[in-house]
Parts: sequence; structure tokens; C-alpha cells
Amino acid sequence: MKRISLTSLFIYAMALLFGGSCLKEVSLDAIRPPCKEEMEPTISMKEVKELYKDQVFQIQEELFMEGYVISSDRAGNFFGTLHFQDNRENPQHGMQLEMDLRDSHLWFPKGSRILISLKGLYLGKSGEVYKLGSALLSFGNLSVGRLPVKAVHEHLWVDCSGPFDIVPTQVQVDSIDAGMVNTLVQLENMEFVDADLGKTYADFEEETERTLQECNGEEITLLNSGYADFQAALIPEGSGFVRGALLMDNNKYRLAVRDLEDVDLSDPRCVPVPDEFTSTAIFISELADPENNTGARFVELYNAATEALDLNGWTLRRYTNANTAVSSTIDLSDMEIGPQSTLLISPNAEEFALVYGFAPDLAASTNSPADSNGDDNLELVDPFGTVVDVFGIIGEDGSGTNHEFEDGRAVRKSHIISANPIYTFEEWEIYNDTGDAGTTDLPRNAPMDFTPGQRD
Amino acid sequence: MRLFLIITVLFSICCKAFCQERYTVSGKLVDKGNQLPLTTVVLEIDGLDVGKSNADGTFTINWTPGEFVLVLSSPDHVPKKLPLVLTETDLELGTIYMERDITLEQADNLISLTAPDMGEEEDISVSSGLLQATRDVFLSRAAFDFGQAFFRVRGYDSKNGTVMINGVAMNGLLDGRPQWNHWGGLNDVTRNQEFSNGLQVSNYGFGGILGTSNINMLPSGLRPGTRISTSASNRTYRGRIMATHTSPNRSKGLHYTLSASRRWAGEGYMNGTNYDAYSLFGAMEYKFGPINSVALTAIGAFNKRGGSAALTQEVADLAGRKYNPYWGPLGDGAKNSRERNIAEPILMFNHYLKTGSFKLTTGVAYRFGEYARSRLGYYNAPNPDPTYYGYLPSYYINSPIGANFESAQMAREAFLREPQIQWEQLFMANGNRDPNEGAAYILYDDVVRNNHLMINTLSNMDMGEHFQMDAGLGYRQLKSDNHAKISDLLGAGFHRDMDTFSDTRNDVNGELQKYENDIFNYHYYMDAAVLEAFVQLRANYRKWEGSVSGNYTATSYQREGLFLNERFDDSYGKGEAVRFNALGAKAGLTYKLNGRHWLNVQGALIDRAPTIQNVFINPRENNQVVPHIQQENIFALDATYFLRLPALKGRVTGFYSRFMNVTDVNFFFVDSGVGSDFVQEVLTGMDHLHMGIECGLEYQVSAAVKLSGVANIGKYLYASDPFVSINFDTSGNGEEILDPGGSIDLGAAAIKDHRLAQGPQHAFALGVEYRDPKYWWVGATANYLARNYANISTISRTRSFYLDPETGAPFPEATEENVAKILEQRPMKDFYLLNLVGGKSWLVNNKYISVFISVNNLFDTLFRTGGYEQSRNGNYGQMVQDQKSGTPSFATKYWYGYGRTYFLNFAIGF
Repeated sequence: MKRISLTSLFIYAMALLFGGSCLKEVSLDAIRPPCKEEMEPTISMKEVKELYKDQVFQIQEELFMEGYVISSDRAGNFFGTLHFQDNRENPQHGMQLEMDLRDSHLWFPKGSRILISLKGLYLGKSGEVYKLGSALLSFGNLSVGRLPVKAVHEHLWVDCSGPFDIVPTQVQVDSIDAGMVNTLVQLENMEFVDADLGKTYADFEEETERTLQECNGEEITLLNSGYADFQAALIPEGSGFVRGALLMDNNKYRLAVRDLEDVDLSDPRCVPVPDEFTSTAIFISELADPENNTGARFVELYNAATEALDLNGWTLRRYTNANTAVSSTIDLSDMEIGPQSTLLISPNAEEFALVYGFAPDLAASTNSPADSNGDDNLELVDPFGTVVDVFGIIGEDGSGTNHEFEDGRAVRKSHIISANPIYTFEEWEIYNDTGDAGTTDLPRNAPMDFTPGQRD
Repeated sequence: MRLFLIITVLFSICCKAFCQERYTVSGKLVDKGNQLPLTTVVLEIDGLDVGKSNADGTFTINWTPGEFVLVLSSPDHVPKKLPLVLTETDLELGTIYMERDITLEQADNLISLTAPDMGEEEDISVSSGLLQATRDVFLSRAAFDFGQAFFRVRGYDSKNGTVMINGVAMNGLLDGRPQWNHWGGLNDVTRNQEFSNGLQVSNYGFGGILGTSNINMLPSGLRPGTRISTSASNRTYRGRIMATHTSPNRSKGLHYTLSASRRWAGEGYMNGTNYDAYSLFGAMEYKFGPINSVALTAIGAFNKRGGSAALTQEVADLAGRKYNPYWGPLGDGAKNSRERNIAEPILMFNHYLKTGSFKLTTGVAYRFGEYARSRLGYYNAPNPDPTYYGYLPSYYINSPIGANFESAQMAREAFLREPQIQWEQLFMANGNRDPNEGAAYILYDDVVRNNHLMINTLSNMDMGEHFQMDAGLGYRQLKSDNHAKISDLLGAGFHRDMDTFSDTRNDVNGELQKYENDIFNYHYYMDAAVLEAFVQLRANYRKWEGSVSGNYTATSYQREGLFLNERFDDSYGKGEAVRFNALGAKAGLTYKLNGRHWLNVQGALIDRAPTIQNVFINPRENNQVVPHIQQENIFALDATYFLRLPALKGRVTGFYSRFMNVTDVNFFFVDSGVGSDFVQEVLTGMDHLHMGIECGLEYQVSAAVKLSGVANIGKYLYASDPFVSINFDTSGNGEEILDPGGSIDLGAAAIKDHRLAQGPQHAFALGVEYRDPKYWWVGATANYLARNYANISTISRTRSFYLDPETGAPFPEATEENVAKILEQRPMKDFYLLNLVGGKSWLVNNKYISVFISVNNLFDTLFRTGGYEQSRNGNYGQMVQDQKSGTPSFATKYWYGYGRTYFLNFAIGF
């Protein structure tokens, strides 16, 4: 060792120096996008749903399912879930992933195509909602829990070529079915219900429900997060479309928007739907003042038309004796009268039922138009204030006239099928205890001399 | 001052009694290998410094007749002991050959071994670098063997040690610590050091209570010739090459030294810790004659290295001791998110004036450049740290709604498959971000640009043969520019410079959109100035020696904000100047029973200004200063027995030091009993107590075999219950604010008698060294280290810990007993380390060739070097919930020591 070659010593030293390093430092310019160029699913969403039998289970097979993301937590309205459907348009199925990843839009923005590696994920179903995620065992019940953050990035891959435009399915509230859950839907002609106007989208830090209605009145709940960016924004008062992920909870559909771009209610509010109708097919068909029982008095109306009619806004007025001012009124608003059917109004429903063996359609009070002692005048008025039908002559006490039915009965002749705002004696058969002015002096007794509910 | 006079008078009286006739001893010192004269060899008799060899290797000393041992020591050579008998005539010793010390190569790897990565949350300060020059066996063990376990001499922070280059103090003003990186990699030119231990009087200044080290970088103090070395290691770096040339020694004219080195690693011992450093050194010294000389020195040490993190037990169990969450794979390599990049060159001018009894040393140094630490910022986006508590299995185990083992298992598996930062995902997130929102993730630097001027003048005066007086005046001025700078937008178009929690602006007067290389987040100047004067008197007698020193320090700090921060009114412009005036005094007395047994007692009373980082509460955002800030008061006392038998030498020291009125500022996110927020915690009125015994013995069994034994039995405690207050911003965005005043006083923290986190408090070593006459040597040391404690969280020791943040009332279960139980401080596990060193050298054609190897922790023992309790669980209820499972989410974080590592060095000198 006296003669050592310095050169060989240094060659050896250098070999030691450069041989040991196992990791090299690189610059940030070396970044490649972590998305996938090609992603081929091996199972359809429909087939995945069919894997589910009756309880939450862990998928053990190496399976890959594709999906198009329809939710976004960018505005904070979604939290802890990712919703996706099986197609860019006309989706047949949708599912959701429960996860702990926040700000997931930074990796899975709306419209992105994702490939989900199913192996190891748990699949569950609550109601009609299919869920993927981790598992959560509480009190012996296994349910789908949130997937840990790092596992999300392991199981979900994104297609480089996205995000894509997802075409929302146009639906109406009453055409929504369970198959549309977790797909993107768009409802036209929507507006917030009157009761919600003036409110914000959500209460601060509270999950808040607001109600949307179609112009035809069908309602659906809009679910908003109290942490959303737009939580404090006032809901718009106009009408238009609302787009969002269709969710379902407790068998109730809900809609959740990604952000306010999904809400366009800039048109004027919906034109109110007419719910007050007039008709000349409705008229007074029988009036009863039985001699033997004043408690069995009634008024019968008849609808000669072949369609039912909502009597919203209709009234029956009584002018007692010679009065020219209305003495009492019955509001018929809640009533509907069936086609070629009667409507019976009794001032004493109990007695009526006792006497005639069935209940009247409407119970009125004593001294109401249904409780006339036979010398009063009656008017049937439509919602627009027009007198459609009349009995007697206003301002003329009936006693001794052709419109007196005291202790008797006034019945519309059976061929009359139309109302008449001018009292026409010829249309009536009238029984009373005087027989004046062409009437028949023949007091009538209940129940045998009356025909409530029947048009002769 | 009165004491000073009395001692002076006493010394003069003693002189009269002992002064005798003197004769000269002279000789010439020559390197045994290359026959070159040896300069600046220190000459000692009975532990007394009696002179140095001259430029031509000759020396002359005056001494009284009798028997004594002359000890010759030089940084590069084996100390030589010459037993002499001086009769009443001058003695000429002729040429004395000194042998090259083949163990000195050991010092080459010292700094790389003991400058472990600094965590963001807790700084580690190890003083080993300070000790490399010493031949004290205790301190050598402390540096070379205990250092790897973050042992600190007497439990002191390194800011208690003063490090000088050519007499100019180099300690930083921000934290008071010497920054070894400023001259890292220049081992060849930093070898000539003079160290005074503890309170021992130094030739160079008043010094700190840990000691004073002066690195003499003058070419005349370095070994002439050329040295080239190359090293391989698996510690902080993988490889190093170093070359140094010093011009031949002459008594007059120009001298120079040039040195350069490079160190590198793709990955050090800890995963993903890249390392890239190069260092350059040039010094010119011109001697006008024997009296005057000047020197110009330039030091440039450029260092870039990747950091590693402290880990919770859970993470270490999952991923191992080398695991480092700070890096992530990138392309075919890796990128560390927390790099330190230091480029702070030093320029220095020195003047030396030396007459027979008077020496005047003047230095002007200027340090400038940049210290940058990188990190990832995230804005309305998930935390990119893979060990963030929400990503770990314990998150599911500790869930308040019950443990979820299925998800915990999933999280565990996913973490193990992908435990690093996912750079690509960060780019993807920025790509998917709404372009108007700016970046979700950016990589930025916390930058400190320093302009540090240091002026120092020192006089050493021999007053008669028994007295020496030293006096010095120093001035240090720092202007530092502190800011954050965007280094990479990671694919984003811009960064939106807002605080995302309160939605307020960081830079109201600046642009909201910031781009790469823009300053953002915070920007301020910190100005500091320190004027220091000291004077000391020493007396040396045959039987005893004594010293007394006093110093005065005037310090001022002032912040100037350059950003108007929306959250604070006092963020912009100059704040109040904070001033401190401090006095210190120390004295020592040594009594020599004879040349073999000495006793020494030293004491000090020192006031000192708190460092900048403990004066300003939140300097990044405002001008606030700790209210009623006080200076620290230090009391230190030690007593030593020295033994210098021919075969056995060593010492035993007992020490007792108390640091009083210590101020400390910490910051963290806490869920306290008074609410949750990111807070700055201010501790005032804190006392620390350091006491113990240190002992080192060295036994020369034969000419070749040496045994050594070293022990440190220390107790480092908190000695008071400090007052705690927390500070926070009040610009919540709809969120609850703890207090509209921005500060809450939490009262006293019950931490008295808790242990300080200052490294192992017990340390023992046994060593054996064999030095073969054929120029090879081996050594082994067995080390046992114990009683190391993690840093405690003070906020959880205040009364606020008892409070339920929901109700504001104490938790019913939070009894004194239960709280004491859950907060009990336990030591880390003790451990054994076996270290081996060895080397051989050859002399071939007048060239020295040497090989040195060291293997540390031969048995690959797993051990912790330090740690800190996380302050997040600031209330009893939450801590109980978090700890139920045994795997808390906010557990104490620990640093792990290196396993088996090696360092191999080849060197040629000619």
C-alpha cells in the first residue's frame, strides 16, 4: 500500500458519490395532467344498480363504471356528495358518491366524465337513491358512508377531454319518476310560491327548503344550503326555468341547483289559472217548506250540464219578504256540483238526515237562504256577480203571489234545463196553503211530498 | 464596579507575593509530515495560555524555574506534552515535530450531522457546531455523539452561544442564534477555532453563557498548502467535494486562501430531502510588518435543501421514521414543497494591530442576500398536506359520532398507497378553478432579505505579567425586508391576495391580483440595532487565576409595515421603536491545588433584550409589541473540578442557571375553551431553570488506547407559571369573533416544574479509541440518552382548558385530577446509540492522503430527538374525545433521529 494510485482512489470516491442518490429533484415544469386519456368502462350504471340486492355491500370485482358529473360544490350548495348520470343526454340512470373531499369541483367539475373504479367501494340504496362510498356501521346497520379523501382520488379518474355540456332532461313536476333521481333535469314555467317571496335562498348555515311551483300549480321543493355563496340572495319573483340535480329523500323529490346560473326566473310571474266559472246550466230546482216540519226545509240546486262545475265564488242570496236588500247569503265556494246532479242545502242538517235518510251536501244556518218560510225571494249569483237564476220577485212579499210556497214546495218543471234570471211562473210547480195566483193549495209534508236529490 | 476594583486590588497584592525571576524556553515547531513550520500553535502550561508560535514556527516563552508540562496544541495536530525541568538558565528545545491529527477529519461531517431540518412550527437549535474546536472530552461527546439526538449542552438554546468570525459576532438578530449555514461547507477554513466554554472568559468578547467561539479565518492561521477532499454520506447530503489552497506562510506581505466546496443529494436520509449547496471562500491578508496587518474576506455559502416534518405517532407507525410529507413525486423525480434557500454572503474587512503587550482587532462585516423558505399555499381548497388530520385513519376512529372502522381502513390503505403531495392534482385543481377566482394552490417563499452590518473593535492588553485587560465595542445594524413572494402559480393565471377566512385584503393599496415573483400576503421591514460594550480584567497566577467582566448592551427594534392589511389598523407604516438597555456581569475564579487538580467557580448576572421574534406579536400583519415587554434576566453559576493526571484527565461541573422574565410568542390554530381561532399566543414572566452535573473523563490506557466516560445529569424546568394571552384578528366574515378587542388574557399557565424541551436531559457515553502508530485509528462510543421531553402546549395549561366553548362554563368532568392526568408530561423513550469512527492516513511523496469513516447508530435504533404538543385541543372535552381511541388526531409531533448512517471521506493534502 505504499504506492497508491491517486487517480484510482478518486475514481472510487466519485463512484461512491454519484451512485448513492435514489431520487432526483425535478422542476415544476415537469407537470403532466393527472387525467386519463382513454377510459373504457367495463360495467354500465344500470348493471351496477342491479348488483344491489337488499343490503349495503362492498364491491369486490375489478369493475369500472363511467359517469358524467352533474353536481358541483363550487358555490357550496353541495357538500360531501358527488352526483353523476350515465349519459351526457337522455340519461337513464344516476347515482351519487358520498365523500369527505371538499371543494371537489376542483377535480370533478360539473360536466366532467369520470371513471369510477368500483372495487372496494360500498354500494347501497336508500329509497330510490343508489349510493357509492365507504361504509358506516351504526347500531348494527351498515349504511353508505363518506369515502375518505385520499380514497376518492384513487377511485375516481377524470377524462382529459372534458368537461362536457350535459343536456338536462326537460321534465314537468308530475312527470318526474324515480328513474330520474341523480340526473340533471330542467323544469320550465316555474316560479317560487307566493309564501316564499321576499325570502333568501337559505337561512344562514341552515339547510333550507323553498317551494317552486309550475304555472299550473304543481309544486316541488328546492333544497338550498345555508353555506352556499348565494344563501343570502333574495329568491327571484319571476318565472322561468330551474335546472338542477334531482334528489330524493323520504320518497320526496327535491331539486338542488349547482349555482344561480341554474335559475332563470326573469319572465313575469305566471298568469293566474281561472278557477271561477259561470254557467247557465245551474239553477234552483226545488224549494221545501214542509208544513209538518220546518226543520226539513231545503234548497236544491241542479246542474243540467254534462260536466261538473266548481262553484268557487257562487252565492245564494235571500231577500226576506219584501226586502230589497240581501237578508242572508250562502257561499257556495267550496262546493262542486256534479254533472246532471243536485246540490242540497239544509239549514238543519241533522233533521234533514233524519227526515230524508241522507245528509245534505251543505249545511247552512237557520235564517239562511235555505231556511225560507215560503214568502221570500232567492237569487243564485255567479262569481262575477251576475244573477244567473232567481225565484220570486225581489221587493215583493210572496204571500198570496205566484211565488209563495209556504207550508209547501216549489219545484222546477223537469223540462227546464237552463237557468233564468227573470222569474217565470210557468217554469215552476208551486204548492202552498193559499192557492193564490195560479198556485196549488196543497200543503206538503216531509218526507213523502218532496224529492231532494232527484230531478223528476 | 466596586467589586471590579476590589478584585483588581487583590490581584495586584497577590502579584507582589508570587512574582519571581523568569527564564526563556524556546524552540521551533514543524509538521512531521511536510516539514513546514507550524504557526499559531497554542502553548499552555498548567492550563494557562502562555503564547503562540510565530509565522516561522518559532516560539519563546518566559517561565519560572521548576518542573512543568508544556502542552502544544494546534487544530490540525495531535497535542504534544513536553515535561520540562527549567533550571535557572534559558532552555532551547530545538526543532519539535508535531504529528498530523488523523482524527480531525471527524469535524468535517459535524455540521451536516447536527443541523437537522427545521420544522415550520418549532425551530430546533443544536449547539454542536459551537463545540467542534474543543478538546474537552465531555464537549466532544456532546458534539460528535449526543448531537445526533439533539442534545444541548446544559439544555441551553444555541442563542446562548456567541459565534464570531475574526472577532466579529455572527449571531442573528431575529432569533439570536448563530446561523451555521452562512459558512457551511467551508470546513477547511473554519477549523481554526478558539472556544471558551460556558462562563469562561473569552479573548474575544463578553459572550453568551453557553460559550464563545471565534473562528479565525485569516490565511495566516490556516495550514499552508492544498487540500482536496471528497465525501460520501447518507445523512443530509450524499456527496461533497471540497478544495482549499492557502499560500505559504510568510512574516510579511500578502497571504491568501481560496476554498470551494459543493454538497449535494437528490435525497438525504429523510425521504425527499434534496440538498444542493456550494460554498466559496476567499481571503487576503496583508502584513505590513510585525505590527499591522489587514485582511479582506469573502464568504459565500449557498444552500438549498428540502425540509422534513415532525410526525405524530400515528403517521410514523404508518409510514416509518424516514417518512416526509413535504415532498411529492413529479415526473420521474420529486419536488419538496418546503425548501430552504439561503444565499447570504458575507464580506469582511479586518485590521490587526499587535505590539508586544497590546492587540487591537477591528472588523467590519456586511452580510446581505436572501433567506427563503418555500411552502404551499391553499385558498378555498383542501389542505395539500397528506398528513392533514382529516385524511388520516384516526379521523374516522375519533369521529364524535362514533368510530368508523371501515372508513378508517380505507383511509389507511389509501394513505399508504399515496402518502405524498400530489403536485399534479394541485395543477389540475388550478386548471379547474373559475378563472376569476385565481389560484387554488400556489408555491411561495417566505423571504427575508437582510442587510446586516457588523462593526467590532477589540483590544487585548497585557498589564504586567499577571494581568490582562480586554475591552471591546461592537455595533450591529440590521435592516431586513420580510415578505412572501409567489414562486410558482402552479398553472393558475393569478393569485387573489385575500385572507380567505375573513374575506379581507392583505394589501389594500396594492393590486388584488398577484403574479409570479410578486410580493403578497405580507411585507414589512424590521430594523434592529445593537450597541455593545464590554470590559474585562483577568489575572493569572501560578496557583490561581480570576476574571471579571461587565457588558452593556443597547438594543432597539422597529417594524415598518409596507402593506396596509384590512384586518389591522396598525399594519402600515412605522411602529413604535422598542428599546432595551441591559447590563451584564460575570466573574470566575480558578484555584490550582497543583498542576493536576484545579477548582473553578464562575457566576454571571446578565440582562438581555428579548429577540425580535419574541417582541413582536404578529409582525407579518401589524406593529403590535408584547405589552410591557421586559428584558430577560439570567443568573448562572457553575463549579468545576478539573483533573489532569498524566493518564487520566477530565472534569466534573455542577451548574445552576435561571432565565427569568422570558417572553415567548407562538402561533397556532386552537379550539380553546373560549372559542376557536388562529391565534398568536404571548407568554410573559416565564422562568426557566437549568441545573445539573456534567462529567467527562479520559483515561490513556496505553500509548494507543484511550478510554473515555461522559455523563450529563440535568434537570431543565419551567420555573414559573407564565401569563398567557392570545391575540387574533377581529374581521370575521359572519363568523364568531372570540373578543372584539382582538386579545384575551387567559391568566397563568400552570407549567411550573414541567420539563423544558431542550433535548435529552440525561446522557451517558463510554468510548474507546485505538490509535495505531501506523497511522490508523478506530473509535467506538456507546451512548445512552434519556429524559427527553416534547415541548408542552401552554394554552392547555391555562384555566381556559377547563371551559366548554359551547356553554362557557367548566366541563363537569374537568376536575383538577382529570386535567392533570390527561396533560401529564411524559419523557420520550430512552435509547442507546453505538457510533463507530475510524481512519487512516498515508504520507506519499510529501502528500497526505487520508480516509475517514464514521458510522452512526450502528444498530439502527429508532429514536425521537424532539417534539411538540399540538395546541389544537385547547379544551378538556375535545382532548378527551380526541384521545379516547389512543390515536389522537392532534397528537404530539416528533422528530425522528437518523437510523444507521455513514460518512466517508477521502482527502489529499500537499
